[in-house]
Amino acid sequence: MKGPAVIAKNLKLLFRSRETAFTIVFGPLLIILLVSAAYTGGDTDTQLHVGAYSPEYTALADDIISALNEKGYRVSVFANESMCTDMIKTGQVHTCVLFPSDFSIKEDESQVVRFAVDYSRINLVYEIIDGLSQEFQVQSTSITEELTSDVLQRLALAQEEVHDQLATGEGLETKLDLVQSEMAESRSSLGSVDVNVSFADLKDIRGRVTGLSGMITEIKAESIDAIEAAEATLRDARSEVENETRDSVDDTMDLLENATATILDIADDAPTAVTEVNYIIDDAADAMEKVQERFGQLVSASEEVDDRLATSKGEIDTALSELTTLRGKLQHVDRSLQEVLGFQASSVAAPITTRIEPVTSEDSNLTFTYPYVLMLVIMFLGLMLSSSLIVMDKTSNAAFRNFTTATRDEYHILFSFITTFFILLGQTLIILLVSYFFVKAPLFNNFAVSLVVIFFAITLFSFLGMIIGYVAGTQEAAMISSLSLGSVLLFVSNLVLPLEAMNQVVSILSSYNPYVVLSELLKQSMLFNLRLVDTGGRIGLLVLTILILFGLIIAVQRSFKSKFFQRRSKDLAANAFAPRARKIKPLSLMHHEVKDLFDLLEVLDHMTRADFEQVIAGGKNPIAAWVRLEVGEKGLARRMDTRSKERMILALDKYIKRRSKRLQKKK
Amino acid sequence: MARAAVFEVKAVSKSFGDNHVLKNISITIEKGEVIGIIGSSGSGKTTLLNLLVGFLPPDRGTVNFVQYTKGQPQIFNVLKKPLIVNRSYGFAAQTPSFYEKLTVRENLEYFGKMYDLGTKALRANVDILLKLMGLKASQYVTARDLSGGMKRRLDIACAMVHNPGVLILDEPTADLDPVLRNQIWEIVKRINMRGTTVVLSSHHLNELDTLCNRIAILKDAELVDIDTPDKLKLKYTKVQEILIESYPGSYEKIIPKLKGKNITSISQEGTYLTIRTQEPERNIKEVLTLLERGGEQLLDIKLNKPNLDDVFVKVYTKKREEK
Repeated sequence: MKGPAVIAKNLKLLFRSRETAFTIVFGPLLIILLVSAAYTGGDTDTQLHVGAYSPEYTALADDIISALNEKGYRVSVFANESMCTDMIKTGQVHTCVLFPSDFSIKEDESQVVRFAVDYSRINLVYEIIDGLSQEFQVQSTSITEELTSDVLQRLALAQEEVHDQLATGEGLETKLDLVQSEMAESRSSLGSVDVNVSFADLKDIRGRVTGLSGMITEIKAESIDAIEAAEATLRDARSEVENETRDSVDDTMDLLENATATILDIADDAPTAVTEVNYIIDDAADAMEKVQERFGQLVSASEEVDDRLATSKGEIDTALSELTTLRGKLQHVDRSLQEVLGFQASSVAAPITTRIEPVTSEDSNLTFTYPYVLMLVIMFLGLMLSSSLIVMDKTSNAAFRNFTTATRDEYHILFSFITTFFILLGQTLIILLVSYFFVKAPLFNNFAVSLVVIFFAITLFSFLGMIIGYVAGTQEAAMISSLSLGSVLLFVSNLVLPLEAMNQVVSILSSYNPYVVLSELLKQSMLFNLRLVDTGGRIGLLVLTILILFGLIIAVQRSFKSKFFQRRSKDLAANAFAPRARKIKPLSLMHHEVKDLFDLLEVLDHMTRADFEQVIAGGKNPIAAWVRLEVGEKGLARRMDTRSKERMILALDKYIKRRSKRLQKKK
Repeated sequence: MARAAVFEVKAVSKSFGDNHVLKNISITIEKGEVIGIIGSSGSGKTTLLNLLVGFLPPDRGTVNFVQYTKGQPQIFNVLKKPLIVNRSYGFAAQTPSFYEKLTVRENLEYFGKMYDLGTKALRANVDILLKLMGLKASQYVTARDLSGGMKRRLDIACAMVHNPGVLILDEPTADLDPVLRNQIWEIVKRINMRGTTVVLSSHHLNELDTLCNRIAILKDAELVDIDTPDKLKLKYTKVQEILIESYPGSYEKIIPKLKGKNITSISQEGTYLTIRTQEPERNIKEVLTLLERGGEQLLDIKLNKPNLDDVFVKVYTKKREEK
């Protein structure tokens, strides 16, 4: 069976090399452990840092800020909008809530709250937007409820007023009915008065008087005409006396005769007419008496009506007063309803609306992720290349000579780093150039700062790789370690999941993750034109880290060099690292020299009880002490620390048997 | 006349854990000499060489380097000024130390630069070394393609590229065949002839015999002795061995007659008569006379003088016997 033998050999080789054992077995476990720790217990809400700015901090703005605070968001208030958005660019704030001026509930218009967000935080931005939108939705809904409740309240009030005024109306109706009834009765009272006086006789008198007058007038006129005609005839007769005097006089005589007849007729009729007039005047006097009588009735009715009218006036006055009140109430209802009618449906339904405003003009996901990806490439290249170079150098035959030349170790470290640095820089620039044409991202916008960040990245990751290189024993171990470290740095970064979603402790620690710091700086440089002066303490932190790493490199290099010379000594290989057999000082027990546990078992077995008691008489148990101090078996010594010989033998026997079994299994 | 010291090892002890590798060792390396350090595996040879140039710090004692400036010696601890010490010696370890993927010349030039040699001096040194080491024809060959002997020579060349005053060779002929070993020893001789002090350790004790001015013997972490090879041989192995082969080989008649004549032992081993004696010249004469008288025809006669192997065996056996 060769297969199992090969597998067994391979496993032995792997596990007997500390580095490989660690990286193969514990490396993945460590990664899983770290990543699990990072992603366990994450709570997005509590980690978000929200900036807020309002031209005027109105009560509503303050309410919303308080509500966000209560919801677990860390809210910072800024003095102006640009300060807040700058903080987004530096990653210190996740979003800015920008309130409009005079931010308050308005029934006639919706309030627009703007969220400034960084879309380059692809894995976080939507979470932020969703979270805050939800918060604002809650606020908006609350305000909608308030507004609706207000409308309903106004309507209820109007309804109540109208209801109340209905009673007033009914009262008015009663009153008017009463007035109406009074009026009817008044009318009836007046109606019952007979005001019909017969004036026919009077008319007749008038007719007759008129006729008489007419007759007189006619007589007068006839007389005058007759006279005038006579005069005319006479004048004509004077002129025409010769021709026609006879005819004319005849005619005039006729006329005068007619006039005289007429006057005589009238005169004959005049006494009759006067008599009739006297009759008529009598009739009129009768009629006047009746009228007087009727007037008396009318006065009585009028008094009655006057009373009724007085009553009605009172009623009408009351009704008028009530009508004034009713009018006032109805005007109030009208105003309330007018106000309700002034509400915009949209402002009631959504009193606060939100608008997302990106802080960068870039809108391509590729552009957003590019800095992270570039930094990822630099990280893995840096870790692997530098560790590989160091391992290659230190495991080469030339290592010994390098250590023994008149060149300081720091020179070797420095120039190994410079080698890595220039290779990586070249690779990075090639990547940037190629990307410039294919990605179409603003890679060279703020190139000076980006280049500084890239310098720091190459330096830092090269140093980390160099440490791995000096610690790892083989090229494979270095590669696996580099990949493991890179993976850990990657997992505990913003690229996979936002840091804010991680466990709080890990999240805080991860903010010092060089990959996080550098990728954020590169992103801010490329997308937000970050200036070096605005990097805050991050550049200082990086410089400090690099110095610490350089110190570590020197330390591990010296440690490696020291071990290197020790290992090279054949003397050491032969002797120094060989485990030395422990020399056990024999135990003198009742004239027997006990050299090992087997001897002890035998001696104890043959020992009499009296002898045993003598051995342990002093209070101390010399046998247990010997097992502990000389044999080095503390557990067995504890079990043998007894005053019973049988128990001691039992413990020893058990131990020996167990050890024998183990040895057999090993064989 | 005592030579000027280059390294002074004073009462140095070194342990690794409970394992005492060197105990109270004191040696002075003299300028221009070839000193060999011999001892069994694990006797502390490599540790001593490492301590000598400050690769390892001693637990006790000091190792001083003596630098001569205008003839005036300046003594300082090797651990205090490692860069000066590193310039003063070249070290060729058991495993050749150079870059396998660089050519012979590239290796020499690289290590020369590590000693801050100027371009001209470096080029001159490299050319001289290539010639000295017989590597001129292979100067553009990648080191990994060299033969074992050439690799060893390149390693020594790398150790010599900065013209050190002291060349330290740790088992320079290990794993080499006799021809290659001889080549190396020849080169060492030539280097020494240029005035370079050579400190070396080797298992091939007899080869050190003619090469070394002095031999230091290490055993069980202690310096057993240090002296010239001849004095060591005299000190530890006075008995020499005479081997005689004759025909018909009836040695039983001769053996009784030789007993008591200052002969340590006499025995027949195959067709040879082996005589161990402290007076070989006298005994050879007596044996030849007896053979002639006994009608024996002499076929072969050898005189095995004591060598460093014998010294070595004697030292180790003596110790064991003492134990």
